Amino acid sequence: MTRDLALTSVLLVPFLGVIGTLLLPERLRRPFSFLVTTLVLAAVGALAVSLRDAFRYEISGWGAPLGIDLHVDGLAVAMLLLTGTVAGAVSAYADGHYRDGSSQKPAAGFWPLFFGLWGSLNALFLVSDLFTMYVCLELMTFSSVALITLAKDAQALRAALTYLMTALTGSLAYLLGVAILYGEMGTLDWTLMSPVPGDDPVAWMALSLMTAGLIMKGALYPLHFWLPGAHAIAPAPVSALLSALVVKAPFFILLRLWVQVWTDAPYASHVLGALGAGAIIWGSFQAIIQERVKLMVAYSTVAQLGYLFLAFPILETAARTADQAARQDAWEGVIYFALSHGVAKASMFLVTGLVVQATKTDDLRSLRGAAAHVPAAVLVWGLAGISLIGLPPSGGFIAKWQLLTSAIRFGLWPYAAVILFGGLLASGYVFRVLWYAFLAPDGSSAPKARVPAVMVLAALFLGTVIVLMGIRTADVFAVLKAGSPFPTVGAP
Amino acid sequence: MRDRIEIYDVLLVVTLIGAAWRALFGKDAFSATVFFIVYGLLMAMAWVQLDAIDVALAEACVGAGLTGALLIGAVRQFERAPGARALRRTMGLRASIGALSLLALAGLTASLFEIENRRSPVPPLVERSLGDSGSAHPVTAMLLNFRAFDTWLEIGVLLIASLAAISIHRLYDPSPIEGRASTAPTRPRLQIQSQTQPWIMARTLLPLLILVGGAMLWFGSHAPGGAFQSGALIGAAGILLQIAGGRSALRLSSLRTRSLLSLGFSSFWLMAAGALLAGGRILEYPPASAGAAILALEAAATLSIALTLNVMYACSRPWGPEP
Repeated sequence: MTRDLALTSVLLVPFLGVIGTLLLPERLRRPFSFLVTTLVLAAVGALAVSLRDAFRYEISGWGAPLGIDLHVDGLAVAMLLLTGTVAGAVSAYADGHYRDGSSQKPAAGFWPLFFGLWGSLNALFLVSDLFTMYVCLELMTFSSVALITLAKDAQALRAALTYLMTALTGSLAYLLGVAILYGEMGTLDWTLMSPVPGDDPVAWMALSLMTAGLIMKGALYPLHFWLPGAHAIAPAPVSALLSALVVKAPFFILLRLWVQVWTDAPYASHVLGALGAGAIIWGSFQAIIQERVKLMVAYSTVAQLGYLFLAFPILETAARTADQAARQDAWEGVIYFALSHGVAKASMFLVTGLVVQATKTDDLRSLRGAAAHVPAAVLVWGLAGISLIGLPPSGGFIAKWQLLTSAIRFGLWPYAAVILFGGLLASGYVFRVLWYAFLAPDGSSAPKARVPAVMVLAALFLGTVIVLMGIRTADVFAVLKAGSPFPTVGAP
Repeated sequence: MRDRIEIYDVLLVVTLIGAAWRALFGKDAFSATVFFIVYGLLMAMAWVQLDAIDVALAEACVGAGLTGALLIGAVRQFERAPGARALRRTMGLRASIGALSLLALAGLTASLFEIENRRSPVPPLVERSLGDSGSAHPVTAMLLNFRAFDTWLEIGVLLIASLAAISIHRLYDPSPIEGRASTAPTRPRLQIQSQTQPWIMARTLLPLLILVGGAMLWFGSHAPGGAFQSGALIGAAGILLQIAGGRSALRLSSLRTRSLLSLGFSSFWLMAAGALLAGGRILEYPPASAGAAILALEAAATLSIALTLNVMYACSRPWGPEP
């Protein structure tokens, strides 16, 4: 009962936020958005705590394949937790960002789109229906595009439209794949069609189309061309949402498709793995040579998304081994990577926003003296940095450790080498920022302005989560056990 | 559906491809748009041939009609903008997109012959559940009962898209549409040029569009039709009014506009939460009141869709004085 209440609140309350922040009088919107955020976070927390095993919920009461079902398992709840953590911090940050006199933008436009994005992500992670996932992707994309245009300049509009066109092309390819798959399998519910026969050419055509569309939306190298522009030009709270959450949604669907629906894809998974390796190397090098901090963080996202695609060959090999513990380790490592990158990347964009707000520029050289002026921001940058590099104590360390040991255990040496080299490259751009931040201020450093305390607190909160993820790992792994595709013996 | 392919079908397909070709490689943006509209209308006829009347109606109303109006608005804006020729320099991009499309087309054609047509469990389930769905028309039952959650989110996409359109419009035009009346005080608020052709057209068509739109909404419960088609027709009525000069009547930031834009989305929310309070699941209606629930949701969605289309049209029109 509590479980169902929590689940339905996770779906319904963000959409109430859309309606409320659109229609309520100006002065009530802020307390209302605060209330809605608190309620959604409480519901996600209650759902995570009460989750023992995977369960389903029939929307409209018809049940799949006629109706639409929710499929609630460890992966879905982990993504909800990530979304809640990042969205919660961003909502506090945005409150300061949009109330601060220096940013001329009205907050009115932000909140309905913010809750629309949150609601679409929650729905996407929960539904068990591939077509409903498409509609969620569309809702997510349109909210994101509108949020980017809040930056209110022509360059942002250009970036937003490039993103829109790319994302729409990706959506159409995905939709075409879903249509073919429905024709072949007679259902849209992924749990009802798995496992798809590995020798079915039509199903493979469908998988190729869906994958092509999703990697376009998920910005996998070399289809990442739209990401740096869009993520770097958006307002800081929006960049955090886009880089931490929005690009994870297509990856989530790919994970379902490649690991849980098509269980037999030995060679094709290496294509994704190779592109992922390319993304790590190319994205990291691009990040190192950037002179603007926001672009650096955006290219870092291109690189870090690469690790997520190494997951496909690793998990495919895992599925064929008999060692159950090794299989579960690989699965947990992959999801933990998505979670820790989300938190680290959101905090990086938020602290970059803090610095931009204080110095009015995101030029790398203007960071001189930042350690003395905004020490909290530099601290959080450092924490996010060690998570991206993969050093303890951080979520990134645990995730990378699990990925690396899995790659070595399954004999996938090239991937192991890329994982290690990628960490080295990440330290290149992370320490480049810290280097400038710790230099003594000189004439070239820009004049400083004060930033609202709530923005600093939001960034510090995410910094704390990064460290907690490195320490309280078992708590998250317990959630991931529910409905894992690689169940361990003796699991409930 | 008939089994035989007749000469009409062949002609239709050939003209379709011809229209698509002219739309893609037309001599300028305007003629390309016209051929796109022709293509949409031909496509609607093709859907009729395939016995998909609902899709045909949607294609004719939305695909050809409203998208065409939006595109023509965009083209006119385009022609005024400096540097519009920059678009011509994208042959490389076109070629690579073309190559990818051909590859996908080959794969699709190959898989068409391979598709097994496994018997889907869905059609018999629809037949069995139709009696409890509140609608005698399977498409309506699917859209507003069995898979109402999808429709809710789609209405959400429209709401967010209209907010995006307003946001982008403001980017270029700092004086919002409703401010136009105050910057040009000589114009009356609802500026109708009573002797112009658009006005005569609007006067004739307006009542008819609203009547047919309303009928389509009503028929949707037991025959092809429904919120999207009806919303498109009523939206077209509004757009005609805008063309006739009633543009400044649309106040983008007023509470009334925002309420009406979100009416469809809010109604679905209330229905979802109400079902929970009544002890059911999200969007679960009791069979006895399902018909009323569907009609209420469709009516609310129709109004929101009609207004959304008008907001988009208003935002896509060229700013500055009309020629």
